[in-house]
Order: sequence, then structure tokens, then C-alpha cells
Amino acid sequence: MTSVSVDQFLEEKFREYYRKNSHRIMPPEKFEKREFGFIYFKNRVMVRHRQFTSVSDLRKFITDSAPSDVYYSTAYYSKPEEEMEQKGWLGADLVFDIDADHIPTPCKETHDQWTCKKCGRSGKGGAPQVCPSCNGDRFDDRTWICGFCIKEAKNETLKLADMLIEDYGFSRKDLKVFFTGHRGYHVHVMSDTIQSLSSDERKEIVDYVLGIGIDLDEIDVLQENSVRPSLPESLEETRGWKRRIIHKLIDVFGKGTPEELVGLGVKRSVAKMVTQERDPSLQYEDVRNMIYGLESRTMAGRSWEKVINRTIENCSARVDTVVTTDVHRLIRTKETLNGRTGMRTVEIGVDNIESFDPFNQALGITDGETTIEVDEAPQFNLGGTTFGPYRKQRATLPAEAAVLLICKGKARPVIANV
Amino acid sequence: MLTTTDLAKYPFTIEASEYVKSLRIGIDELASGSYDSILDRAEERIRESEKDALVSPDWQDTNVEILSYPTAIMFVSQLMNDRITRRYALSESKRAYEHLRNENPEKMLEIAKNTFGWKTTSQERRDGARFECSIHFTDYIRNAKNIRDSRWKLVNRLLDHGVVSATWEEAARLLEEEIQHKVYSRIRPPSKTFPEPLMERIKNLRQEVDTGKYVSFTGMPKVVVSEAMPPCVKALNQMLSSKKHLSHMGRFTLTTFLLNVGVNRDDLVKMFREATDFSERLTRYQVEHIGGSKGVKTRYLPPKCDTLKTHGLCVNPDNLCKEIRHPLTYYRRRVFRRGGDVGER
Repeated sequence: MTSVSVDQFLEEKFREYYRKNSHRIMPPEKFEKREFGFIYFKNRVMVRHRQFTSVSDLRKFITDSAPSDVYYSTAYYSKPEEEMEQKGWLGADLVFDIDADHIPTPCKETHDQWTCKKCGRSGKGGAPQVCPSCNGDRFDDRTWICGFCIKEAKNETLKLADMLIEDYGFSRKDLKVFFTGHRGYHVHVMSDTIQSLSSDERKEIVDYVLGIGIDLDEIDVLQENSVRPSLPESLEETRGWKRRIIHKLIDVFGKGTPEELVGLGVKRSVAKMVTQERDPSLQYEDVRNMIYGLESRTMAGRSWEKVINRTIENCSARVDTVVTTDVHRLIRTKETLNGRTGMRTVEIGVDNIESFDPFNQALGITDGETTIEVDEAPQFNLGGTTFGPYRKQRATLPAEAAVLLICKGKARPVIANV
Repeated sequence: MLTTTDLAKYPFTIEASEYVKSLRIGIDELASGSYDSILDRAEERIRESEKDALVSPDWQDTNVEILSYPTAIMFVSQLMNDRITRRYALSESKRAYEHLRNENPEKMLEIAKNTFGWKTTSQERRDGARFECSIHFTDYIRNAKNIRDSRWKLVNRLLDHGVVSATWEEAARLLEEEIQHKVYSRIRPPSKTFPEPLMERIKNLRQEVDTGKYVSFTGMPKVVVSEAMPPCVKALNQMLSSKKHLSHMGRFTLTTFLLNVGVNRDDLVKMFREATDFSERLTRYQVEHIGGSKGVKTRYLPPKCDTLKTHGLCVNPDNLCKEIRHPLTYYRRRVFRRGGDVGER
């Protein structure tokens, strides 16, 4: 089969899905003031600047044209269909994108691969900056969606949600959390207070979330000469980043494993010493005394500074800096399919980030079975069933598994002779 | 309630502008000779701004002080010179700060809320705490983003449930930024000419400021001085020439910087084409788009230092970097410190 027919196959599958399920598509608030954009299987080019004034028009358009991906602008415009300069920007939601692509996970070496578009060289893991053979800098990324990567993205999302609620004071109702249908999460803040923020101002929020620009003296988290951290009388007294840093320190020094301590940059010998003599039910004051009691030679030089910098890294939420600061961004529409997996973009609610299981709850195309020719695929779990691993073989799989492998470029559909 | 003395201190407030409106003084009346003290003070405000970057906080006659402010705004609008406008906005805001820093907190709150729509409250002072008011984070970042010291960066503040704690003096400093912006945005190209006596005054003012009596303006050097480029741009350049991958933000920064220091488009397209596998057509389109001839009329500036930090493009900052907040300022400073042999463009 040629690649065109793979595209045709997917387009048909997506259309079939939308014929039955387009009623599930719920456009965002004030959608008539937003721009919509679509990518199609055929040429993978974004068709944008579209405006819809009724839900049924949007649903019909999606069903008829069967795009691989459906986006809308986080911004509101007085004329969404005009070109950028004439649109009349009215404001934008505050959005965050957390994607496993931006989180270094060890498993990527085993399940991601790249191919240089220029010379065809390929390798495992994330794509390099330039191709080692020909210096080309454009690659075909073959990423895989794995449980570990998603769990890491989930952790970052939880940290972000906590900051938005505790530090920024947004209510749980203001936050909409979505699983993207691929390897990440989107968090949208829907509040009048933030809509007019400029890109510069959003940048300050990104810096806060990532912990960029923290001045250890300014937040008073290290005592003079960096000899030890500066811990308050009680945990209640602190706010902002200082609170996050101190909570983490107390948590890890009071209850953490030696590995967690080493993860914060504590020397292995010291980590061992701390955890060996420790009573598991230590109160804040006890941990504080324990930290203050560590002799200066065990945490010599700039040890504490290093530990605190690692703690900051650990507490920060790894968001994509470009998405949040772009006030014209297009973002995935809820209950549409993701062209990289055939799974749905699902709103999961801020209280269900932890419990939501994408491999069961974000399935999109699920009708029937499909016979495919698989090149190579790792073992994976979908809808409660374990599949694979596969290597150069024909398999007849439930639609969700077959479509995932086809979308990921790991398999081709086998179509009976016509 | 603001008194007339308060209106003289803070002539940019909503209350002051309502007061001025209620006096119903028309433009012809203003030019009639009976209000010359107002016109004199308006001119003086602009002269002080040019000379000292500060409009003097003291005054003789309260009404003259109040009315001279909107008059000065009219004059500056007629001058149609962005540099003078910026400097004037700065000078008025500094004048206001002189008053605000000693102001009664209740009054400061009133101005913040009524004129600038701040969501702010006074804070109950806990023992030993140095904070006095709570400012909503949106009001905070809108103003603090322009202040350089790291103490002002949101990440270094006590942000709790949407509010930032600040002292009254800090609130005054943030209001200064707000005022500067307000004054600046009030000055728009004039829609009509004024009666002759006023135009005469404006003509004289323009002569004074245009002949550079007070400040000299330094632009970009005529030739491109590559050793004066900041470390971030040098690094991007290095990456490009060694055929390393540049992110979109990196390409944008390099392109805008080079265009702004005077590298011509053809040379830039050539640079990119040789170093990457981009097609010439696409590269040319991007360069021209950024340079302001294709599609949009905007001519883009490179991102400021802060933005480069956010996107991980600020590398090897040196001592001069500590003094500046924009890569083009770095370049300009280094060139002019190097000596005046490069001339102006």
C-alpha cells in the first residue's frame, strides 16, 4: 500500500468516528469569538482563520472534512476570520502545555526514534540537534506513548495545578485540565482576571512556574554564608517559592528515602546517615533541628546551595515556555481525535489528574477489528488488553490498537483485494 | 476623598480630570492671555523633564498646578516626538512618586483603585512582618515587569492565593510605573492645530528640544561592529555557522538582532542558506517578514534579556549584561564605549 492510502484509511476511520460521535464535541466558551484551525491527513497543512457561530456548524464541518486534528485559538477576537493583524485581539485564556516531549525520561531511549529527513539516518531516543551524518536539522520523530512518560507528565501537571490554586489563588472551577490524546496535558485558566495579560506578563507567570530567576538571598532561604537553610519557626509562616522549597526539604529530610535525598544533591554518605538514625514520625521542629544539627563539614562549601537549587528544579512544573507566552496560540479541541494516536482529547477535571487513566479513558476509535501489517512495536496496554510486542508480522487487532499503531507509523492497514 | 491639594499632587487621577472638566475652560480662553501662568507652568513641566528627567514636585498655585498638567500633555502631543513623550511620561511619574512615597496609605489605595482599577487591600500587620498591603498578582506583574532588580521579580515575592505582599513604599514604586504608562498613552498625535499664541509657544519649545539643548540622542552606528554583539547573539551566530540546530526563538532573536544593527537582508538570507538546509524561498520569506516588508508592517525587535532567559537563550552573561536589559542596548553601549569612530546612522 502506498502512504496515500494510509492517509485515506485514517481519514475514513476518523470520519466514521465523527459520524457517530460528533455530538460529543463541545466547543469552548465564547467559541464564536475564536479562530479554529484544522490539520488534514492529506497534506498535513494547517487550515486556519475559520470562525463558527453555531455548535452544529462546527460538528458538521468536522464530520464532513474529517481532519486529523482540530484546534481553536486561546485568544478571543472581534473578527476571527481576518488575517492576524486585522483580527482585533480581545484577550486570551491562560494556557499551559505539559508534554513528555519536554521531560527527559529514560524510557525514550527504548521507545522513541528519529530519522533524518535529509540522509535517512536514524537512531533511538529523542532527535539530536543535528544529524551526526549530514548535519541536517530536520527529522521525522517516531515517538511512542508509554505509561512512564505519561506518569511523569502527570506529576508535572499536579505541581502546576497546586501552584495555580495555592499561589495564584485560582479556584478549582477556574482550571480546566485536559489529556491531549498523546503524551501530555493542557491546563486552561478560564478567568476574566487573566484574559488581558500581555505576553510579557504571561512570561512572568512562566518564570514563576519554572522557578526561573529565583534569588536565594532575596527569598531568604539560605542563612548567611550559605552554611545552612533558613527555616522558620513554623511551616505556616512561609509563602510563595520559599514555602515550596522548605516543604520539600522538610518532606525529604523527614521522610524521604536515601535515593530521594541523593536526588536533591545530598551526598550518598550523608543521605545514609540521615535516614539511618531517623524516627519515621518526626514533626517539623524535629526535622528542623536535625537539619540544623548536621555538622558543617558533612554539608560543606556550597552543599546547601546545591541542594536548594535541586529542590527548586524538583518543585518546578515543566511547562512549555512558548505555549503560555503566545497570546495567539491554537490548542486542541475537547472530544476531538488526536491524529498522532486516534485517541481523544479529554477534559479530566482538576481533581482527577491522578486517577485518570488515558489508556482506558481516552480511547477514541473503538469499532470493530482491523488487520494490519506491523513493522515493529513494543508491548503496550490499551483498553485493559495487553498487545505485542510485534515485529514484522500481520495481526488482527481491535480498532483502537490498530489505529494507534497506524497513526504512529508502525503499521499499515491490510485491505482485502477489491 | 481627594482634596484640591491632592489633585495638584496627582493631576493624572480621574478625580483631577473631572475637576478640570468642571472648570470648562476652552482652548480659546486658554490662549487669551488671562491664563498665561498655566501655560508657563505647562512649558516648565516639559523643560524640567528634558533637563532633569523629573517634573518638580513643588508648586506655587494649586489651580495652576492642576491645569498645567493637561496643558503640558497637549503641548507634548503637538511636539510629536516619541523620545520627548517617553521622557515626559517618566518625569511626571517620578514627580508623583515623590509625593506617593510619603502619602497616607488610605489615599494611595484610593488612587490605585479609582484611577488604575487595582484590586488591593491594606494588610493587617503581623508582628515583625514588613508588609503593609496586598496587591493582586495581575496588577503586580503589569508594573513590576519593567523594574530590573531581582527583588521585584514575581518568583522572589511572597505570592499567596493571588496576592503579592508589598510595603507601601513598594506600592508607590509600582504606581509610578502605572502612572508613566498612563501619561505615555494619553499623548496621541494631535487632531487639530491650536490658536496662534499656543502654536507660538509650541514652536519655541520644539526649537529648544530639537536643537538638542538638553539631551543628545544616540542611535545605531553606521557599520556593523561584530565584536560589540552580546554573548547571547554571539552564541547563536556561532551555532548557526557551525550548523547546529537553532530553535524558532533562537532564529527569531538572531534575525531581528542582525536586521536591527543594520545587516542587510540579502546577506542574512545568504548566512542562513549556507548554514542550514532551509530553502532560499522560505528563508527569504521569514527574513523579510521579520524585517517588515512582507505581510506585516511591523518591524520586529529582538526579545529583551528577560525573555531570552525564559526560553533558555541567555548564555555566558558578562558584566555589561548586568547593566542592561535588552541585547540592542548592550550593542549600543559597547560600540559607543569603544570610541566615537563609527559615527551615527
